[in-house]
Amino acid sequence: MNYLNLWEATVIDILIGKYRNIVVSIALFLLLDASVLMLNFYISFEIADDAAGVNLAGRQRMLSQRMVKSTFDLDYALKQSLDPAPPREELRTTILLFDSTLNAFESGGNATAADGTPIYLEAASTPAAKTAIADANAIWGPYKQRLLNVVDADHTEMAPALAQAILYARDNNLTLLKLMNDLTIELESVASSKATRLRWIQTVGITLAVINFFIILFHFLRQLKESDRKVEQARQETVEILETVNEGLFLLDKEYVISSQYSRALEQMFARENLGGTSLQALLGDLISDKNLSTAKRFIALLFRDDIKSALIGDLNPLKQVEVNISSEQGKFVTKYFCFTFERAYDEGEIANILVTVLDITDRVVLERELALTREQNERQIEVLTSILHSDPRALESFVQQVFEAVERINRILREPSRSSVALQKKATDIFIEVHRIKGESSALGLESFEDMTHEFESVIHTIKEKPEPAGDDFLPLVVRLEKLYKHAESVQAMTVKLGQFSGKRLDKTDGAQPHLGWAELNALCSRIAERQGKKVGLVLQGALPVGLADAHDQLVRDFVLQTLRNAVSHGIERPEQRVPLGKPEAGRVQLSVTQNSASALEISVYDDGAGIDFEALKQKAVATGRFSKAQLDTWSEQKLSALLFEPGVTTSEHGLDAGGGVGLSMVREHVKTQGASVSIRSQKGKGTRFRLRLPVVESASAATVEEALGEALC
Amino acid sequence: MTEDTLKVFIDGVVRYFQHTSHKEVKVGAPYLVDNRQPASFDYTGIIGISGPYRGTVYFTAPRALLSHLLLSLGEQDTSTGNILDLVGEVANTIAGNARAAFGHEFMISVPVMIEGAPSQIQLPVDLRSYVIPVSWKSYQAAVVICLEGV
Repeated sequence: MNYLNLWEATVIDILIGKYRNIVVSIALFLLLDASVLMLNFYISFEIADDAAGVNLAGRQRMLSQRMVKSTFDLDYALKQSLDPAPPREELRTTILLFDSTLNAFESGGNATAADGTPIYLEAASTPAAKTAIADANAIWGPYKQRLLNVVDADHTEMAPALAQAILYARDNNLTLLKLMNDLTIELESVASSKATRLRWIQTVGITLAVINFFIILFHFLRQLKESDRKVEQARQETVEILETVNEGLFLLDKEYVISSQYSRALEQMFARENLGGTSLQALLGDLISDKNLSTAKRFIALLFRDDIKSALIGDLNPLKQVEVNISSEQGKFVTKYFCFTFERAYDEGEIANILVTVLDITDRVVLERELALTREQNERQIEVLTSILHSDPRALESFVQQVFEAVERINRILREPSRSSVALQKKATDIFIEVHRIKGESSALGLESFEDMTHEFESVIHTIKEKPEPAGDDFLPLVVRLEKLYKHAESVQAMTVKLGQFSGKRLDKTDGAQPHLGWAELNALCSRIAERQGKKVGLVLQGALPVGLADAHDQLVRDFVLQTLRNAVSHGIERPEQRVPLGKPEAGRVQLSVTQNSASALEISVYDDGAGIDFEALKQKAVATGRFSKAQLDTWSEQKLSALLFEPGVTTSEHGLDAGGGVGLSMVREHVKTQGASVSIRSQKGKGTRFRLRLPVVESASAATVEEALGEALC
Repeated sequence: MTEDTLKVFIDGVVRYFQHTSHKEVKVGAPYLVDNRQPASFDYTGIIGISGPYRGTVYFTAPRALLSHLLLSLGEQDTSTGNILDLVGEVANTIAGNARAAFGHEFMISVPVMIEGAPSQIQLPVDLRSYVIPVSWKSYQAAVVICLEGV
């Protein structure tokens, strides 16, 4: 039923559609041909009938003469006393045949054909034929009677009847022959005119058919040309559209093959050519993951199923936002973000293809990412901000500068060629000194983020140093942390600049000057270390910290003060529960004294009332380094032993946030040596330790401000 | 960036040299270099990386090392074409190793080989690259890694 309807619909479409004219023309052509054929048939039959009529009319001529001949035969038989029956029978047959045929010609009816079969004759219709028949009948009526008298007469009456008939025949025979001849000629003429008419009809019909054919041909060709022109125009328009649109457009068939026509933008987007006829896999295979590609294929397969609503599966599109990486000639990847949309393309109600539109949404995605990145950066900046908010911007800026310089120095150390493991060990030690100084400074400034970072850094160096034969790639974690430290310093620097702008005053360049180290910073440092170790400490400052020292001296003073204060709090001072049973106050006392003995000598000492140096433990550590023997150390005085604290790697404590694992004091000793200064230690078990630094030359030293001159606080 | 990520690229180079007759290749202490002054020797094979983090990794070596390496591989022809092919092959091994280690999330480009001219090595100027010196016999080469978003 459906097919029938479809067929009907198709026929109707064709009849009323663009093919109507052609269909009508062809129908006319066929109608014309059929008409000519039918007329042909009809006239052919008529001509056949007429031929029979002509034959029978011709036979009438012959019969008229045979009748005469039969009468003479009969007369002869009678005169010669022969049997008259055969000629009489022939005469009877001839009479009947002639009569029935003439009647048939006159009013239509059956006659007997030459082969004896009955044949129907139409009544002659032309006037000439009618006249000939009427004239013949006028002669034939009496003639027939006389002849019948002959054939019906008995033997005695036959001769007179025959004489009468012969007499009548002699008078009318030729007239009757002529009339039959006229009839024949007339019938022949009718038949001939019909044949002529048939030829005309055929000629006209064929001519019309040919004309019709040419009309169809012309019309059809014109229509074909027109439709070709329209197709070409449509193709041209499609090409123009495909050349100019910014989107990648192409059709996909069920085999995931890309159509021959696609937009030029597609080639530009994917940096490929000749995509027509290639598969979706060839287009995307190298650019997206296999998983995404197979999901996309399954999704497209679903779109080809007409029992599934496309709106319902739209969300399943795996290529709504897909990152593709197209390699450039420089070996770099150009990352683009494409949005693929898939639409069904129908052909006569069937899903023939899938129209794929590819949009380059890189700008949008990049913008979104940038926004997210900015948010993230803002959050990070807030974190940095909270970590530095309590710091003096000037001190912070010069600290950051110090970090940059230290990082540069560390990088230089790393870069120096070193092939042996001993050289690598030295690298690690040198780097440790740099990092440890930064750690000390960050601790003094209360910059926990830097403190944590440098501490982690130190731990990594420890790991390297513990290896008997370190290799180059053991330094990988170190360089990663160096980069982190660099980045963090950059963030803090950016933040300090912003803060400067925010407060409306730009910070002056410090030209690498050290951050100012005052009582407040030192007090805070002691408090933090004490708090971390569960101790109580009071810092007392006597004298004034020098300012305006030469750079090298300033660095030495800073290193000495920071290291010895850290040592005092973390190694010297005991925890309250240890102090109280010894009769000491709960809070330990750390005293920093600065005295200027003469115009050119500065003495700085750091004293703590803690446990003093544990010389036994110190000896064990020194032996553990492998550089000293126990026997050798047993001969040393306490004074000499205490100098071991300045040896690298010798410490009475494990590496921790507040201790450098034997590096801090050795770093100070290096400075002391180069600056011509001296350092001494005096320690008494259970009573305390004093570190003293003497600087022989002091340039442009002046007293610190009055408010920092004296201070005491309970931490 | 973690040391493990760096190690993947270094392993690529080490793996390549392990296929040669003189297997011993030493990795030196890594250091940082400013991207405004990219470091390179005579020949460089560059691969691009994209995915969760993106950037450039290149292997750069002097001509002497590469010529020697070609000879040790049984190749007598030490023309520039062969040298470039070789440096590309090393970069390819680095890429292959990275592909195996990082999985399909990462896209690794086909290597590009250049002769001299470090200006052709495009790196983001506001970042620093990791330089990992590599010594083979008496020669020095380097793997340079610059990755963003790590």
